[in-house]
Amino acid sequence: MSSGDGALADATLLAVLRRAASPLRHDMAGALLVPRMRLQMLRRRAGTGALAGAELQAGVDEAIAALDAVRAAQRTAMAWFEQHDEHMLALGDALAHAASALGLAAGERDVRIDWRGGSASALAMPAQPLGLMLYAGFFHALDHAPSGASIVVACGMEEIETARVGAHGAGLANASAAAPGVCVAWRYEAERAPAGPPAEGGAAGGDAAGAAAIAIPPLRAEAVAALCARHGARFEATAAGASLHLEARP
Amino acid sequence: MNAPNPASPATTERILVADDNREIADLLAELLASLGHAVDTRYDGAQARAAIEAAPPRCAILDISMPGLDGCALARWVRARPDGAKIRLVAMTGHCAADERARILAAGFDEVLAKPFDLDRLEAALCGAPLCRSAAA
Repeated sequence: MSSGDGALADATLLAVLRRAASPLRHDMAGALLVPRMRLQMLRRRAGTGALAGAELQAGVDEAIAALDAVRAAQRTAMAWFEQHDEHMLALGDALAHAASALGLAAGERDVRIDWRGGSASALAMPAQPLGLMLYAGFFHALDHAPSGASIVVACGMEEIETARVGAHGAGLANASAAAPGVCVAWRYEAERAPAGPPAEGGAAGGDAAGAAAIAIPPLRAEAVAALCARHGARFEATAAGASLHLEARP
Repeated sequence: MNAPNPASPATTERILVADDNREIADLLAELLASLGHAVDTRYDGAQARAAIEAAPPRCAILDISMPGLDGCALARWVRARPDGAKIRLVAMTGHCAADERARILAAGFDEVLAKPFDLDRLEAALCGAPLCRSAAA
């Protein structure tokens, strides 16, 4: 990777992290709501003196279970920020999580994210690079999908050409081999009618949404490609969508 | 769907709760029912829109990030209805930055509840609604 590509990858990394903060905060806030509500309901009931010992115990158990769910949500939502590659995420879980977390951002742009799943959903991959690349792919799709479109997201197995590597790690010039790979695809389907009545000014999100959309520079395909190349993956974009090609490690 | 709690203060006004997180939707419905409200629970924006079309509630508590039809799009649809101004719209969201709150209000919501919110905050949000004023009268 050249120094120019490295700088582009760094800039993309920062842009993705900056834009990912809000949806991740949203997910964590939602996860915290359940134990908070359960504990508050328990507190109110305790305040009336109408709480028997068994009910109190059941209520505490529910709150503990809700806190366990918060811990799991935290792990899924935040693990990819960490620099520990040993933490693995299922591709399908990571995609579903990103699709859900970016729902509001999609609504701002009058697009809809349609996560369809796929044959590679169960594949576990290192959380940190996977999260970065998927969020970059989603942000690119949000920036480039036509207004009113659905972004159909799916993942599947494929064979990809990789440089053939010798027993001691030395690359063989001009040689390649088919290796098991994974493709994540974002496809724009523009036939959907806008979800709501058009707002004044044209944009479905109104003036505030329009201003927010303008304030964020669109993520360019070459910027996402540079970030993905750093992690050994390939990102390609066309007017009809984009795809991320990852090597499936055993 | 939750029925009103017969032991609680009577109110015939209905609250619609919509959140794609079923646990949150069900828990909130349980809580509101315990406060004496009739609650209708839905798990996505399209279901919520259908419920409003079938029987407009006095108040709708809507999650913002829902698949398909999100809370802001749903609020704009409600406000475009002839009777849309009569429905109190309360947004629930984890998006709590100032610009996000402004965008949500601009979509037509009366109130924004930032998750995780307190029950007192929820009750205060509802108390702007005619159902609470009439119940207190």
